[in-house]
Amino acid sequence: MDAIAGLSLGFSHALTLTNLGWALLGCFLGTAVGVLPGIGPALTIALLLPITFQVPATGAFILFCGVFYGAMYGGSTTSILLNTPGESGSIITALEGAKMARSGRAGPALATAAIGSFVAGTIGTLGISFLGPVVVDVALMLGPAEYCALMVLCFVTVSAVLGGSALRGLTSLFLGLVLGLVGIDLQTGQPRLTFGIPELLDGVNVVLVAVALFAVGETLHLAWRHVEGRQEVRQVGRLMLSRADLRRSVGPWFRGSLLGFPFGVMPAGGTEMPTMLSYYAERKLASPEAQKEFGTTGAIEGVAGPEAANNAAAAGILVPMLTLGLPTSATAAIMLSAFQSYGINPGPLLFEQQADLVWTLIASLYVANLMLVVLNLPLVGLWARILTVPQPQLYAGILVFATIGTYGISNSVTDLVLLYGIGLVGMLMRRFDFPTAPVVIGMILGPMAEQAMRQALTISQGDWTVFVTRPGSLAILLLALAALAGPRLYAAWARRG
Amino acid sequence: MAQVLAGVPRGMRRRGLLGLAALGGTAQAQGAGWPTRPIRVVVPSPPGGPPDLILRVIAPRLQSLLGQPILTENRAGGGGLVGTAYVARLPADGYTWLFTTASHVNIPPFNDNAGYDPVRDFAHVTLAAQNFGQALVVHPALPAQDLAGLLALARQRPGQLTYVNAGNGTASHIPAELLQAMTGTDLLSVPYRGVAEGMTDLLAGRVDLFFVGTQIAVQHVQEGRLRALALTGARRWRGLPAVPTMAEQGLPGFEVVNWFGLWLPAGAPLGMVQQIHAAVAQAVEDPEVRRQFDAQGLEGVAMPPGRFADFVAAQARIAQDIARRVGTKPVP
Repeated sequence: MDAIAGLSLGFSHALTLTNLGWALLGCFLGTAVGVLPGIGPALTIALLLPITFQVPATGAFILFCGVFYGAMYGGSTTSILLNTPGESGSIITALEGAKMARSGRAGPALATAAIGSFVAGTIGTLGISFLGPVVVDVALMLGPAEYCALMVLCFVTVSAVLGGSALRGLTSLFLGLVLGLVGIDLQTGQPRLTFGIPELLDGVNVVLVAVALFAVGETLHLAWRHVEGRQEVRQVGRLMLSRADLRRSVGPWFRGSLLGFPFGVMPAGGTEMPTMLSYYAERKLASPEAQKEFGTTGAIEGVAGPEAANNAAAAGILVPMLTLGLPTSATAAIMLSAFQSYGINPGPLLFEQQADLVWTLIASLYVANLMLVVLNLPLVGLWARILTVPQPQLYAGILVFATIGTYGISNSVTDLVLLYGIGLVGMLMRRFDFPTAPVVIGMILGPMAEQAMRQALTISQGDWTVFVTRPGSLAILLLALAALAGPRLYAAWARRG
Repeated sequence: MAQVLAGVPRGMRRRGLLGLAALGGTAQAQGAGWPTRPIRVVVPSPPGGPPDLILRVIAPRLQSLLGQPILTENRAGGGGLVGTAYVARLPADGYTWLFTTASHVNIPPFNDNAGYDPVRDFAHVTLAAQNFGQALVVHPALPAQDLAGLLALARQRPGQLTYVNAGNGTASHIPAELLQAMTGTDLLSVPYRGVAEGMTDLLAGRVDLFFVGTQIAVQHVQEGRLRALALTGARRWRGLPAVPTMAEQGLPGFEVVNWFGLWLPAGAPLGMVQQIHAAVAQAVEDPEVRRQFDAQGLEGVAMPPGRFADFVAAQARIAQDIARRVGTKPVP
C-alpha cells in the first residue's frame, strides 16, 4: 500500500465520531500534563494503559497520540512563562522565551511556540507518512563514531550562550560536565560521584538542574537582592504575533522542523541536540537588530526555532518505533508495550501486517495536530495573564511549582535536596554573573559524548582513527571545524580585504 | 508460625508447609483480620516497564480475591535498588509488597552499596510469571549459523566478538557472561544505555551479538535482518519455533529467563505469605490474564513460597559468581 492510499484509508477511520472523540480527549489530557510539572506523556500513557484491556486498538492509539502531541504543545508554556522547563527538549526554549515574557512579550512567545509546534508537527507527520522507512535506513548508518562527532558539533553551540566572559562561561560549562559525570560509569559499572547515595546511581536529572538554575536560582536571587517598596506589575502586552513577529518566525519554524525531524529519527538522537543547533543557527542567522535582543530582552527567533526543532524531533521518534520496533524515548517505550498488550509486535512488518492501525494512527496525528493549534491559541491570552500576578506571589508560586514538579519526577526527597542545593548555586552564579545555560548544555552533551566515544573505541578495539576514517564522522567533524573557525577566518579575511 | 518452623530443615519445611496450607492457612490469616486496608505494591522501575505491566494485569484479580484495593507505586532508580531497599526497611505488616524482576538478585552483586540483601531481607512469596528467555541474535553477516559456529568463531578471535550490554546485571548481560563462563570463551562487552541503542548497532552490523527479548527480536528475524541462534530458556517458544535452546545445542543446564516475583519485607507471617500466594495462583489461571500474558510472551507460574525462596537463593549465587568473574576482567 502506498502512502497516499494508506492515508486516505487512515483518514476514513480517524474521522469517525468516536475516534475524533478519542483524539480530542487525548489532546486535552496531553495539554494538561504538558503544562503540569512532573507529569509527562510517558507517565500519563502508562496510567492509561489498562484501557487497552477494554478499548479497541485504534481508539487507544489515537488517544495515546493525542496525549503525546498535546504534551509537546503544553511543554513550552511553563518554560516561557515561569522559566521552568518541564522536559529536556524545552530547556532551550526557556532561554529566550522567559526573557520575552519578562519584557512583556509573553503573548507572542507563546503564540510563536504554538504555531511553531503546528508547523513542526505537520512536517514531522509528513515525514512519518512519506519518508519513514527511507530515513530510518539512513539513520541506521550512524554509529557511535558519528554520534560522537555530532556531539563535537553541538559543543560549538555553547559559544552562543557563553555570555560576555569566556572564562566564566567555560567555568559554567565544566560545572555541567562534572554534574553529567554523576552516576554509574557504563563501561566499568563503577559508581562515580554518588557518595554512596543510591538515588544518584542514575545520575542527576537534567530537567531538575535546569529548573534549579533557571527558576529556583532566579527566585532566590530576587529574594536576596530585591529592594522593598518598588512593586511593579508587568504588562501583558499584545497577545498575537505582529506582522514583524510573523516575518521573523517563519524561517526559524521551518529550519527548526527540518533540523529536528532527522534527529528524532536517529535512534540515539533525542530532542535536545536539535534544539541547541537550532538556537545556535538562529542566533547566527538573525538580523543585527534581532541579535541585540538575544540574551537581553528575548528574541522571537530563539523561541520559534528550538520549539519547532523540539516538536519535529518528538514526532520523528515515532519512526523508529513504527518501522523497527525500537523505542527511543520513554513515551515510545510505553506505546510499544501498549502494542504488545494487543498482541502486536511493532517491527519492520508492522506496516504490512497492521496497515489499518498504522495509517489510522498517522492520520489521527494530523487531526490531533490541527485540534491542538485550535485549542492552544485561545489559551495564550489566559496563560499570559498569569504574569500580571504581583512579583512576590508570582515567584512564590514558581517555587511551589518547581518543587511539586521535581518531586513528581521520581517521588524522591533526594531530588528536592538537589533542587535547592543547585538552586543556591544558581543564585550565586546569577549574583556573580556566571551564565547558567552552559551548565545545562554541558550536562546534556557530556555524558552522551563520553558514551559515544567509548562505544566507538570499544568497537574499533581502541583504534582512534575510527573518527576520521568513517566518512559520516569525518564530514560532521569538518562541519564542526568550519562552524568554529569559519566566522573568525572570515572576519580576519574581511579586515585584510 | 514462621518462628516455629525456623529450625526445621528446608526440605521438611516445604512438605510441612503444604500440609499446613491445606489445614487452613487462610483461616489463620483471616483470624488476624488481614487485610483491612488498601495494599501498596512498590515496583522499583518506571511505569510501563515489564513488571509494572504484569502487575497491572493481575492486580484487579488479586483485588477481588483479597477484598482490598491494590495500589501500584513506582519507585524507580539505580536499576531497582532504590525502591527495593525502601521496601526492605518497612514493617512486615503485609500492606507493602515488592513486585520486581530477576534484577532483584542480579543487580546487587554489581554494586557495593546495594542497600539490601535479596535473600535475607525479604519474605519470598512467589514467582508470578516468567518469559521464554532471551533470543541470542547475530547480524546476518556474521558467519555463524548456530551456537557451535558462534563458539568456534569466538575461539578463533578471542576478545574480539562484541556483544551488546544494556547494563550490568540486566537480561542482556547475564546470559552473555554465563555463556563465556560455561564455554571458556572471551567476548567483548560494549555498554549501551538501553536496548534500542544496542539494537540499532546490531542491525547495522557494528556489534556482533545481543541477547535480546524475544518480542523485540521476532520481526527482525522473520525479515532476515537478524539471525537467531538460540533461546536462553528451557523450552522453545512458539513465536520462533525453529530456534533451538542453548541446552539443545550442547550446553545442558543453561537456563536464563526473566522472571517476575513478589516479596514482603522479612518477618512477614507465614499465613499471610500463603494467602497471597494462593491469590496469585488463582489470578494467573484467569483466562483474561492468560490471554494478556500470552500476548506479551509470558507464562504464569505462581511458584509456591518455599520453592521460591530456594530459587531466589540459587539465582543470587549465580549472579554473585558472575559479578566476581566480571570484576576480575581487565577493563578495555
